Amino acid sequence: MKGLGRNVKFMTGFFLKLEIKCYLFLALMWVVFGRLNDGIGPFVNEQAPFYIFWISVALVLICAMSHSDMYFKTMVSQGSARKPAALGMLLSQYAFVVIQVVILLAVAMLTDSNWSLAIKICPLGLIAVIFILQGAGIICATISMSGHNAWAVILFLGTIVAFVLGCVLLGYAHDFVWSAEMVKPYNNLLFLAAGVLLEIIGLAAYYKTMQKVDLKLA
Amino acid sequence: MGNELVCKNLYKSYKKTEVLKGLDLQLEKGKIYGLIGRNGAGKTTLLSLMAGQNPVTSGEITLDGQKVWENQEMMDRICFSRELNPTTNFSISELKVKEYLKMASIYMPNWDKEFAEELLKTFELDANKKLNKLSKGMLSMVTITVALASKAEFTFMDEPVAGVDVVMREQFYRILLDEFAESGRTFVISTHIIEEAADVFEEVIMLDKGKILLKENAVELLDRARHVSGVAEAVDKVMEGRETYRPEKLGRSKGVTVLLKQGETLESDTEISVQPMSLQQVFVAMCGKEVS
Repeated sequence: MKGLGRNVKFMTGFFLKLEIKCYLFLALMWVVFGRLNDGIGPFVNEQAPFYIFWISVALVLICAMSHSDMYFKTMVSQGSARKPAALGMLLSQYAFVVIQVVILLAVAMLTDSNWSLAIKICPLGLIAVIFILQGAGIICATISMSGHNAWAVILFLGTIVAFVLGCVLLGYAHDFVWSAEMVKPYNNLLFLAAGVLLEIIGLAAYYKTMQKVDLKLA
Repeated sequence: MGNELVCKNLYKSYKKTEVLKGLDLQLEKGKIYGLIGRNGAGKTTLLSLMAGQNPVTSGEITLDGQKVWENQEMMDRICFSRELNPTTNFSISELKVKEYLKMASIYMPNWDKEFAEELLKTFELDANKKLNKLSKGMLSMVTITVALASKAEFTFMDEPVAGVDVVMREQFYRILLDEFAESGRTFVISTHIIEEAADVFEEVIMLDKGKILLKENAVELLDRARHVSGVAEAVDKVMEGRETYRPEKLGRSKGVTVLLKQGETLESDTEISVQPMSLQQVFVAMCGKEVS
């Protein structure tokens, strides 16, 4: 699709900046809620990683939700056709997920397979799922708006599959790393339920936004 | 058909509000068009539709016979430099001027970096300043920089001189004419500062209530436009069968704007006075309300 590369370039830059901000926030949370001992736990407050994780997820979610539609509009207002703009946003978000995975693996390798630390640095699972869902939400709404409802439905179903896969992966990570002593009361089901809720909110918000986009661009 | 941007039977509605109502327009390459109309006439909407940034409700927009909507190849040839408003557009408010230009350069394949830097110097803009720290005039100069440096074949500018001081406005018109002479690009400039920009426009497009009221060569339009005043009966007699606008009555006297036919002349005599008009006066006469 012509112009796709330009959109990916534009969005990846923005998401990288967003990611850096999130890490700064994570670092701040670490200072506030806990202390690092050789780069790992134990935390002063046992619940600290839980707070850190969810606060950073909320932060990323809020940032992405409040910025993505504006970035989309910015791309369009700078001369991009809508489909490559939406697809560009989606792909840049997948790029973001890949970056997270690379960081996760790198940290794990550098810390002699300390997956606990790695996953704390990269709470990738849910963030990744949220980004995928948001991206898919944008593209579904955009394609639907362009009159190609069948493609929108296919992509929506694809999103669900991606979401389920994300949850499964997250579940593995959760079982593997955050075992009993840290978040025992919070099992995979909670993550799944939260993810589903976020998906519904995310998609609904984007669909609503995209419906209004014509008015806002006028 | 070649080198033309054509709008056919355009309709655009925002929910229940119909902004454009069956508009037909043809823009030829290598001209500077002035798009004038009252607030809410549909100028920005028309520009955004022609740039492919906004879907039409019905109708068609083509460039060299190809649809513009969702056609990246055609959109690459068009630049619509929008009015910047960082208070409502949060995504750009935190950007620095240089970042905003960088962003525009990603989307404009013919972007001229040196020219953009030169324009920043001319307009005395600090590239490291954030957009939300700039005044309205400075923001307008950023949009001018984007429009000119884009080097797009069809460049649309929405209120480019809003808030810009008179010195910089003069600079802008000079640079615009230089660029036009050098590149032969097509410019469509929407403005409310008509008098000042009138000399720059080759053609004038007057938009009123979502329709094209007039599209004509600026010089020819001013040749045809006359303000006729005198005793009401005498004015009415002369105006019979002519295209008149905005009659003004004051006691027994009457004034009216008339658009003469091509090549037609009308001279003052003992009963009526015939005066040439400025573009702004013609606009007010055609789009303003009747005065009694």
